Amino acid sequence: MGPKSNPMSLVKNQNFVLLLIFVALNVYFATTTQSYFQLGNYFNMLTQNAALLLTAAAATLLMKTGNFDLSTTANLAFSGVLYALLASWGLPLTLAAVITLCAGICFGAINGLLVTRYDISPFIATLGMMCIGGGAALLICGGQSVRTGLPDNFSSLMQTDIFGLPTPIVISFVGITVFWVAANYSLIGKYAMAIGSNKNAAALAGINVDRVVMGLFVLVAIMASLAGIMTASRIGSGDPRVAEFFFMDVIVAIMLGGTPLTGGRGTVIGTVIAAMIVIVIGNGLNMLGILVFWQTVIKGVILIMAVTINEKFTFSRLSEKMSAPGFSQ
Amino acid sequence: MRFLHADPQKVVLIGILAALIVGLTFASPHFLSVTNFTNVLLKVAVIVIIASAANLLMVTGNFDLSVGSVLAFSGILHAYMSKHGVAIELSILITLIVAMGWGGLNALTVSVIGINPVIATVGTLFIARGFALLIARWDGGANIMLGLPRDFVDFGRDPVFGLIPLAIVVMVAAVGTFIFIEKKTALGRKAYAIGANLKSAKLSGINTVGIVSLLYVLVALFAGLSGVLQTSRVGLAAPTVGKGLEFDVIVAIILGGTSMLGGVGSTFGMLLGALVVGFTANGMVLLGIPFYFQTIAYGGILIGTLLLSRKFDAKAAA
Amino acid sequence: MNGQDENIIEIRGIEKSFPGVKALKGVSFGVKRGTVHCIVGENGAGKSTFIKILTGAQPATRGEIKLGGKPFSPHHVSDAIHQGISCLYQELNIVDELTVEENISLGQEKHKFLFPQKADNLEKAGAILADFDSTVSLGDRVGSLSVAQKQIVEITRALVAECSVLVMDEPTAALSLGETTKIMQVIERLREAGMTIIFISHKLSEIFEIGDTVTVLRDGEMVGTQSLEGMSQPDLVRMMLGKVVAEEYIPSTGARDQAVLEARGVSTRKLKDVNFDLMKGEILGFYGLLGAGKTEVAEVLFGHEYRGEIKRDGRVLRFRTERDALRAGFALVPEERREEGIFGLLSVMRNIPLMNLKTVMRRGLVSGKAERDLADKYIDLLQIATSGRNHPVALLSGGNQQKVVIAKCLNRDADIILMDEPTRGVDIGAKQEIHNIIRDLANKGKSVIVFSSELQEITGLCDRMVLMYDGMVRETLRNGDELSTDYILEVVAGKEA
Repeated sequence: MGPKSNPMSLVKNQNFVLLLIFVALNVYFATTTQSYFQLGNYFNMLTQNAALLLTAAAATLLMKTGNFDLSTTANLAFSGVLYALLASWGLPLTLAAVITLCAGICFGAINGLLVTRYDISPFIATLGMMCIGGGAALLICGGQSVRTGLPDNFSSLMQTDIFGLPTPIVISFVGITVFWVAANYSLIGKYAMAIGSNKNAAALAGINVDRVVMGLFVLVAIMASLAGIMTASRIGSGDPRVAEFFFMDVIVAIMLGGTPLTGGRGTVIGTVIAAMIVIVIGNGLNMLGILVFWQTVIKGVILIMAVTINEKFTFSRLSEKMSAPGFSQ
Repeated sequence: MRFLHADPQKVVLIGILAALIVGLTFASPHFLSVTNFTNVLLKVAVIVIIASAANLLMVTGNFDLSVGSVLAFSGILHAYMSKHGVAIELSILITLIVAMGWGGLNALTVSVIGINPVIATVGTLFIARGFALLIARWDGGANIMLGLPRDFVDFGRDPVFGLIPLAIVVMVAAVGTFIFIEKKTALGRKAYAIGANLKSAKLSGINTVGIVSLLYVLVALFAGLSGVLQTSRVGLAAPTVGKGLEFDVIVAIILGGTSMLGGVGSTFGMLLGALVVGFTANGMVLLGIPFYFQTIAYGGILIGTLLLSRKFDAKAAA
Repeated sequence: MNGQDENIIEIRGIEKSFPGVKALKGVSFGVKRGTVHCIVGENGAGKSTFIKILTGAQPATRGEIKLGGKPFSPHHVSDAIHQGISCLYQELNIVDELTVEENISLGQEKHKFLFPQKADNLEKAGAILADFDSTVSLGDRVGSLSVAQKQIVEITRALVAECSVLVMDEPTAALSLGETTKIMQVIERLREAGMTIIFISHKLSEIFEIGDTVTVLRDGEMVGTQSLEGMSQPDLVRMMLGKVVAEEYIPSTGARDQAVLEARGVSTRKLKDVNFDLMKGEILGFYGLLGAGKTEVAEVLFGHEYRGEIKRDGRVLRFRTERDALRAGFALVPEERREEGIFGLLSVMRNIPLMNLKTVMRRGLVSGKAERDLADKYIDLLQIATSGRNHPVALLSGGNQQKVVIAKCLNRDADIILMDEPTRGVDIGAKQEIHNIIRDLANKGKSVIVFSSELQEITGLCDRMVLMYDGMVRETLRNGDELSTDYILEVVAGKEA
């Protein structure tokens, strides 16, 4: 598929608005604080949120099909703990990472199976896995975070550079690019869109809907698991209670980025810009020395305002287009 | 057979509940006692009180993720005002009104403006939680515990008729009220209609915006009430309580057979769902099983019950 | 051997059971290569089930199908497509968010590592598409097309997939007259090119216009397969129903001399200077093709904004919401039954009072007894076929769902009742009953406005008819003997009156 001239204008517009907000925020923080507009700060922001960006980009594809995953937090915590645990037993880090990712896949496989085979709604299925995974994370470490016996190079994944760029930034950049290409140019993106827009039509066109949805659940699980490994490396331990609101941040970024929960629309770029907006706000308010509690309040206000503007914006354009069918709006 | 056909999920739940009670009676000598049952009920009371209202909200096809934050906020606000010389009754009244304000915010964003409830109520979740933390900080600490007047805790701890804890009385009242609303009032009928088909409901002259808004306000009111009750009983207001409560509430409701899409569900089913969760947790504590197994069991029950009732459904249909 | 050569599809003893229901009870017939084979039957006769089996969407319980002499038992829709059977389903099966080109290739793309290759049949697709509608191009987003255009995209997709058998389930249901003619021409051409077409339609005129052979299904059983040559329309109806239903106009009994509604110069984005009166005790029909403005008139009467003046008993109406309209004594039976009429998950008993809950309230509370009595009253009055008042409405047949919607509306006891396509998708028997109900309402002094795209309904039912074309009222006719359907068709097709 690929970017077409007129059809995507609506989505593109939305992304453009998001981009404007992003730039405006940067200009504001750059002019009001001294330490914001510096390369080091941007590296810092991106390093801290590389896991979020990566997972959100992948989960956009899933959400385009009208499905979503609440168990990413649990998967992240579980994978982080498992990775640290394996490392503390003396396994080479690469091997530990591979085993962790394999375990993380189980989340996606079970989610996908429950949703496709047993027809349980994604909300409930992944909520169940959120409980189970969260418990499992605590279980394997006995409720204590894994700090001792970790090898010296445990945190090196997050601290090394590649061509002068911090490794996590490179990882997330590569990941986002891959998902962007997958969403815009591969059949996965097209099929995800088709399933979210008209599932029946997709199935009748011969698309194996269950397999696509299943595959995307697994993809998101792998990314959440990788996010767990990255987070464990960043904080230098395996903490079962880390990143409590991770799944919410992921979903909020995707929705702010223009993908509705019902699927059928949305872009990876939109998700990434929306995620960056949220990240920049947090960072900028920190720089301004605003109390962290106020930040929570502001985050909520901005969330509601942004979506309100976004929805109204989309709605007015949509209602122009749809004139004939349908009674009462 | 007809009964099975009618509501497999409730049958499954009653079965699980019976099995739990029988099993735990044999497994633990401490299980079958008034103290223990009171304990279980106190634990589920917070969930059930909120879920009574939230159940009817979910019947309309909407839900509220901000209840945990509203509960924490209300607890803190009540404690803060009581500590700073506001009379208990007045403080409770003001707290409940402010709590309804949070519901009003949700009503405005979801029902009037039409934002997806996931985003809108998560926004409220952040804002209410932020203010809870801020009030605690204005008070000068992380929690509000010292300097609370005596009648602050008396309100929560004095049993009604010297017998039953207030929270349990409120829980029974809440469940009773919503069973009544569900069965006997126009509000109940209209809520089901809205969940079954929003467009039809509008064209039938039902004030969809008004009813969904009212239910959001009621949910927030009950969350606020739970906050007041909990803080009073514990004698401590922490701004961090109730994290994840929204999911406990939703799990109880879904376990009870209410569809997230609306149109189906019952208060009684929700009560069964909450009790299953409550007794499971209690049993695990009594049997000395580490707490983290509880969350696993939680998820297992949620998925398991749905799978089981699916199976019953298929059999009943065949 | 001979018969097998001639017949591209051979169907032998197909049965299909669902839990509790036997939808098909042994259907056998052959489809000749290069013909248009029609399948007719009332709702619930088993047409849809049969199509699903033929196209691989559902497996048959028993029986066999041979395609070109070889056993054919598709496990999946794509199996059927690969073996040459494509289908246009009743609901649009098309993805709004994708472009026309992407829709045409959907599910059938050639790809390398999941990256689609440039399709080699693009030119062909473009040519076929241009043949149908030159205003649609391959790069258009499907969501921006009209219903008819979407359908054309679907037909193009089937043709590009090089099917040898094309199944069309009610292809013209949402099309205007001109577009229908166009599709008919295309079918004609396809037949000449040797394509076999299985054509399902409710519109008998189309069957006689295009069909070679017809298979009639009734209650899951096959009534017969016959050549359409020399067959008459009443013959076919007799086969379908087992009885002939002819509807004759019976005037409403009221005086019909007192206007309850006067519309003067009503305009919206779609409507231009619409004028009409509605009399007390009258059935007024609005007739026009798709897009002529019937739905818009209904919308204006039920709360949409307009310029101009609509007076109710001399007072100008300005509704802001549907509720205002209801309060002013209007009630609406909406066009989209499933989406706007019924509450599918709720029981018959719960559905009926929802437009007027007061009828089941006693002392401020819902009375179970009043609710049951009300339900029984309407089940009896409208002859709603349901296993009980607690039966969910979603599980009723289309005609009975429509009766529930009408019951809900009757219970409102409104003076002016708007009925948008009151019998769409309703089988003939129920249709007659619904018409009787409407006539009864008028005789009791209510005023009814019927919006219909079915001329028979308008001429058989309405006392006066308003003919619309392109958002304007072209003519208002009084029903009676000298009514000419040809003339009406000319007017709504745009001829100056």
